[in-house]
Amino acid sequence: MLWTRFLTHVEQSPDYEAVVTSSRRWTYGELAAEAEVLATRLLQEGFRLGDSLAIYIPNGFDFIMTFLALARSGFVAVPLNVNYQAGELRGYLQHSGVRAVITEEKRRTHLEPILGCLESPPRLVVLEELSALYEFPPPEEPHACVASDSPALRHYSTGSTGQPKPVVRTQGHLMAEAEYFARAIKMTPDDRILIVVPLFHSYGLGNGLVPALMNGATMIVLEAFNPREVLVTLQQEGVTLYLGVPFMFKLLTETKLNGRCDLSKLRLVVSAGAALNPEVSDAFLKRFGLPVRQLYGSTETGSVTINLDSDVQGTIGSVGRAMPPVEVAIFDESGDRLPAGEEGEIGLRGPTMTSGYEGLPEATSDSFRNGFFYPGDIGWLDKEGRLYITGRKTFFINVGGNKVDPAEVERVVATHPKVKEVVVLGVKAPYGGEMVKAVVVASEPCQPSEIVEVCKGWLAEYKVPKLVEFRDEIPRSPLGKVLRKYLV
Amino acid sequence: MEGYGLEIREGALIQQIQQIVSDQILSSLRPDQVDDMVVAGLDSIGRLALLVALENELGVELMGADMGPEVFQSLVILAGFIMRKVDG
Repeated sequence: MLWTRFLTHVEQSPDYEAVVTSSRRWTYGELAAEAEVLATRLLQEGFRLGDSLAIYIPNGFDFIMTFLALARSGFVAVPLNVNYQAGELRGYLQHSGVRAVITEEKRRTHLEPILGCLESPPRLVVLEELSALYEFPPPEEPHACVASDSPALRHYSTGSTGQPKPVVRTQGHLMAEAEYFARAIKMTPDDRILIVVPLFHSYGLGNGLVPALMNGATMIVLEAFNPREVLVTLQQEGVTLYLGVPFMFKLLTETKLNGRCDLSKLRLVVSAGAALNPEVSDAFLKRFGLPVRQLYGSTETGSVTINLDSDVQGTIGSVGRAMPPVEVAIFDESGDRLPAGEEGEIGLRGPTMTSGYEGLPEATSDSFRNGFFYPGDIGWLDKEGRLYITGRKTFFINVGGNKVDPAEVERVVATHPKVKEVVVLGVKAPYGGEMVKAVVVASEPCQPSEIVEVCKGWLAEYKVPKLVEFRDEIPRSPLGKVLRKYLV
Repeated sequence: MEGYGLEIREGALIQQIQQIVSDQILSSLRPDQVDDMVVAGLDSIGRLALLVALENELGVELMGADMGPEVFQSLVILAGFIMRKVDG
């Protein structure tokens, strides 16, 4: 499966560049050798086909090599956001039932106390330590037969009730997504892909890492986004494909660079995670001579549409057509399909899609109906099949492409003893997307800093409210529903 | 950094930071409401947006390996960081 397909490129071009970071370059041969050693050592450590192993590693070679090693032996990778706070990590580790957390030495001190609080703590596997255990190359261990339907990845989809929903995708799902995406954008081994979006996220993984490995392309990986570093890397590394999110494109257009910015090798720039402001798209086109192409997908389906239309200006608000054989349809409230031009709920289906949420039959039946997955987005299709997204059915806040569930933030704010009531919502961020705002009814005098502090201990930075407003009461409808429009 | 040279006054720079945050980062706040807590509360996107805006206003490169969250602990610390960059 994933490994076998990857090996065809290793055998054809072992000296071809696979991964480039700011500190080193690895060929396909070197990447395969390191992944093989890790996969074998994990077997020697007693892990077996189907075991879930968390990856707690930032963007870089180690993440790619570890993901590949897990795919090699049929383990289920559970990539974790390295920006999570202790409470969030505990929750995910408790829920996912992973047998181990694979990480780097420098993250050990952060993880050990968290693991110590769990009832059945997973083992901590430190890459450097595992290497040091063996003086010689490990003996060959038999690898189990990994099939198309072998679970490969467990991600968590943001829930609407403060409870993230586990999404398991198989090796077949990931390979199908990589194949359809690569075909749509005509990816070849000559492509050099700059990946600065997080690899633990379905976008970086499904549109960067997996298609690159499946097609013998080169990945240039940056650990964090710095607009000047990105512009320099795009030039110096002759990048042909760049994956970003809207706020990145805004900052790239505004960042000055000494000398001329030559992006002549760049052939495709893709934006996902949130709607791209047409003004940002125009500014990028004007400065760099290349349009930003919108891509749409979900954790449950992977990427499903991309706008590669030759009429850039005429279709600027569209996320494009479905990548065949994936299908996009629009439904009315009774579940009937709507014709082109009519707005309704978006449904997606295809071979890239998971079958449901692991262990959550109710949430599964809510979102997976009649063979389609309903991501909770509203939109319409034009006569040529281009999808336009116009809104959401749920209250997620989109912070730079990261989805924040207001209920999760409300739960944390409500733990403050001075908080009587709280509503969390998204407000427009001037630099694109949204930011988190908390409207608080306090039982005694309280400062915004107190609310922010309680959140910082439990929530990743992007979930912490940037605005805190105190009110005497929360406006409600006669039926008790919170009137959010009066809180923005 | 023409017009500023080596004689940037910390107070003027802090006012400029407050104005930029109010204009471009957190537009619901007035400049005088942008205090240490607001600056320290910026997330990674807000911090980058502020640095890009400051670079464009001041004409000096600020983004680098030394621009971690600790630089944003307070307005005074941020102003000090910028002045060190100006001094080279």
